[in-house]
Amino acid sequence: MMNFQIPITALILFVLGGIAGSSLTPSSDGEADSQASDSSAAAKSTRTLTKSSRSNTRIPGDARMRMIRDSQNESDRLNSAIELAKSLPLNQAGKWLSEGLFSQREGFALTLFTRTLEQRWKAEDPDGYLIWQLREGKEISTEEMDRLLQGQSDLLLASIRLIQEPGAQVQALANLAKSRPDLALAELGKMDVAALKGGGNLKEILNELAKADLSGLQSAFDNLPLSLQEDAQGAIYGELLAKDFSGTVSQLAELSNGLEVFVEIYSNDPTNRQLFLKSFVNLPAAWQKRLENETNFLTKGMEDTEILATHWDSYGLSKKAVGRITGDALFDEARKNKPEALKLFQDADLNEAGRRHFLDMLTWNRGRDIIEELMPNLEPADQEYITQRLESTDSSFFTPTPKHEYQTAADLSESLARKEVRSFEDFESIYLNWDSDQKEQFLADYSDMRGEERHLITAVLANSRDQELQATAINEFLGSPEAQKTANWDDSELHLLTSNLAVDFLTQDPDRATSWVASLPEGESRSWAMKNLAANWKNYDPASAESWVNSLPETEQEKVRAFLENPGP
Amino acid sequence: MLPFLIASAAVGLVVGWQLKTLSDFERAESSDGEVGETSKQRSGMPAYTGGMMEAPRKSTDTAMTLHALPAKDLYDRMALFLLEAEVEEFSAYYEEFQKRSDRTDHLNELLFIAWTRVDPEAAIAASRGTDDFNYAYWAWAGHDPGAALAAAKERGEGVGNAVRGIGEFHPKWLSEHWSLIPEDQRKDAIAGLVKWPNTQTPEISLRLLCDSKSDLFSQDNEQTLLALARQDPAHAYEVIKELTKSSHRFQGLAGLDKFLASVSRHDPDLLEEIALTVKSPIDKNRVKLAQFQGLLRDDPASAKAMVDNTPASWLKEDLEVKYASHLLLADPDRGYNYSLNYLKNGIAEYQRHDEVKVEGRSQYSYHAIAGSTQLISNLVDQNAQDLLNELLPDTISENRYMMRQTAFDTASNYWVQQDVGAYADWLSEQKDNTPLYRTGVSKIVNILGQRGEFEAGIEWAQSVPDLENQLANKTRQLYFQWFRRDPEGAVAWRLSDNFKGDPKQFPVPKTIQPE
Repeated sequence: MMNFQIPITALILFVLGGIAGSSLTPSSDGEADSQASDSSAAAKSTRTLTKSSRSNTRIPGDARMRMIRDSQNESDRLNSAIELAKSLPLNQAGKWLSEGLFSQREGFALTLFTRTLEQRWKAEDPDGYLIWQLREGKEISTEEMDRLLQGQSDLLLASIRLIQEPGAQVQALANLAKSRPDLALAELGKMDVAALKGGGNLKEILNELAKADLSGLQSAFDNLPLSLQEDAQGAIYGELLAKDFSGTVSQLAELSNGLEVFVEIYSNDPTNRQLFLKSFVNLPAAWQKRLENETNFLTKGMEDTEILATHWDSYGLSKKAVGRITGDALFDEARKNKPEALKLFQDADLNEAGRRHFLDMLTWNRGRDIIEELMPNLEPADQEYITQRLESTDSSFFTPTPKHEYQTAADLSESLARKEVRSFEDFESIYLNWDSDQKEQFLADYSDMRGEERHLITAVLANSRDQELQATAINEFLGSPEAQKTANWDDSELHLLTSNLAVDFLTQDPDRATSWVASLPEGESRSWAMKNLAANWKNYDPASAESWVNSLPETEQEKVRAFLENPGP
Repeated sequence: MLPFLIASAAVGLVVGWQLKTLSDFERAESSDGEVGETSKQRSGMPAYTGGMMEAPRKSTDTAMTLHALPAKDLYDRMALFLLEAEVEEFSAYYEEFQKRSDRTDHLNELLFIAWTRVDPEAAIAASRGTDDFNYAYWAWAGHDPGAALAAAKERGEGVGNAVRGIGEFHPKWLSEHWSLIPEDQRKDAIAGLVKWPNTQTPEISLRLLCDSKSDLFSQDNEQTLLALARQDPAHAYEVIKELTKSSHRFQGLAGLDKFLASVSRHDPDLLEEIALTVKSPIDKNRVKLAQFQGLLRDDPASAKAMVDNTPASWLKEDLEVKYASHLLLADPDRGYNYSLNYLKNGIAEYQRHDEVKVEGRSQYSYHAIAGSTQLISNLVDQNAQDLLNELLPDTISENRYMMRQTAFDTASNYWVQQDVGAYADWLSEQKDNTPLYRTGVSKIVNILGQRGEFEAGIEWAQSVPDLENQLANKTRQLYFQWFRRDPEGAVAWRLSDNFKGDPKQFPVPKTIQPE
């Protein structure tokens, strides 16, 4: 009796917030934690220097863990881990495991601690352990669920409702559905289905419901939330297919979306897929026709290597369909692994339709380099085919875009003069890949530049994603009408760039935004930046925005207020 | 016999064994026993002999007593026994252990963890050719990552197992030696890494996950994220921002939200600390939203007060929507009416403009109120027909971004996707409102086209009198779509009496023309 009462008390504490509220009660731990408190506060400002050795009072159990982490050798750590797992009050087990409080991650101590504590918890308080497992989204057996349902069903349901993580809640409901589909269905009806969908795969629950009580799910179908009906339909037909494949296929053929439902079911289950492919010739003629045209239905959920290893001919598909399936898969593989393309091609042993589909795909998708490598190994008929294809295809389809490999500001300047840098993204992608020396060299070159050459690069920098470069470039433009003219920018371009950067700064740090705007030379660009800053700031934090507007000089304030009142079209 | 006698004498001590005592021994240790210590250094050494004094044995078992235990009671006792076992004892223990019918993965792991600690080569040799071989390099890598990986690579065996073991037991080493991990085995390293939370060096794990393009915010990493926040909330925020950095103002927020939600679930007080360091007004509002979620869970009345006391702003709208969603679940009728009232009378823009405007030019993007689409789909699930009737906009062409109209549109889109038949029934009653009817028909036609119900789609498209509009084009699109999928069916319809359009707009290829 005593043995029964203690676990239940622990269980109730656990479920009703014992986890969140419990503190670590063992005296040694509490003592160590409180002793460390002052030094922790004092050490706050030197956090990065002392982090590894300092006790962290905000972390539950840290004092206890520090003793283990400070152990001089692995043997001690491992033994300490086991000892802790054997001595920890059981009502703290959930917190230690769920919050990862055993913070010795290097080595085996964490494994030994976790396994030992779980074994102990399971032996001393089996129901509490199972409920914890459910709350963590772990799978439990039907027998274990049945046992909980017999003695602790209210507690079990309350625990499922309290789960915060949608994925774990879905798994718990799927577990419940195996034993008590009626309860699982009722619970599902009380939950935020949209939020659950965002965090977990509701098909898991519905599939379990269909397996455990098909007729129950069928009768509840019309009353299910709309967003569950599609998955429920899949679950119901999945179960029916398992019981009577050909009869269910006939039923599905009557539905306008029958093939889609069918494909969804089989693509999630390799066993069904085999059954489906073997039955291909017996499927309704309209389905066969569609599947031969839309071959992605046949390969849904399959890896390319699996597709290439499948003997599609043996299922009664036309040569053309087989060619399209295998040609597509080989194309994907060859593109991913160009150096191996020839070997992949030889190993795949495609039929004629497949080879030609593969070659077509290369032609249309910039794969000329692969074709050139394959050419000597192609059969003469295929060589002739692809030669004609290439001659009749616009070469821009298969010519890779030239790369701009400039290394310095001077290189960039030359590229700009030759009009090779077609977009600011070109600069971004290259600049981001430079190491710090290259960036430094670039900035040094740039700072020495003058005149048109410099203006063109400044225009690139004003559009870059590096906000410091952007700010410097915009400042330069604002003081140089000549630069603006060289870049062929009208005033509105500069106003827009300035305002955009001001708002970008705002979204990271309002102080940075306001000081940057204040540093700009007086003029229209600054005025627009102020207006946009205020308008955007108001959306996030109206009080701070108002206070900043109040701090502006009266003339600026008037303009900003007029804009806030009527921002125009 | 001697070990047994020592163990027997220590039984009383074991019961009361305190960690503090252990700690004293630990401090007395003079050797550098970092986890990377080699098996040679350990081999044959009795446990707890740091030079000062010999510690009592912790295991009271013998191999025989352990072999007699059922697997469910075995883990801790086998662990204590094997951690003290002499190197030569393992082979015999393994032989007997293999005869068990109740071996579990955890026990197999434990055996190899202990064995490879003192004699990895013997463990590898004994298990070669069996399924247990997978454990050998995995466990060895847990003791000596460099040696295990080098041996596995050199011998061309067990590399995946060694790499997985490194991920599981040595995040720091993995991070420092990432280049040594063969590229095609890196996924094994990451699989090992996420098997356990890293609450010791969370930043190392998160950076590795980020570098390997893995999901930082999966459920597996929740404790790691929480630990990062507990170690230093301000730094944690900076790390999350850095790892989710995006060039767009509103991207990367999903990651931040998940991080804040984890913190809110386990340690809501930390949000206060994070809020103090956050400068970005967008992020400040996300922190407030996470705090609000905690209040909704623990103190709904205070949550409502927070909504009421927040000045009109995007944050207030976010809070309203979250509160409405909460109420809808807690009290469906009240929640439905509250939500409806909010959507019907709200003055906020449902689709927000994140806009920069200068004379003659502007740049903007839209983003919806947090959680609004979820709220609307839950309302449609509750009573779609009533919701649409209530939200029915007076005119469709007014400012289309206003709350009520956009909510109406979102609800319609969701309903037609989920139940095109019920939506069609409702729409049939709105024929007098031509603009609304035409928009609704367009939605139905799109859905029917996606589902291959071409004839029904065309029938709907033609139910709108004005065929010169966009719907006439939709009818043609449907015909060509139908033709590609089922030429005979499409042509049969085209040549039937059901066809009502301009024949020139719906050509029949000569090859299919009936004679």
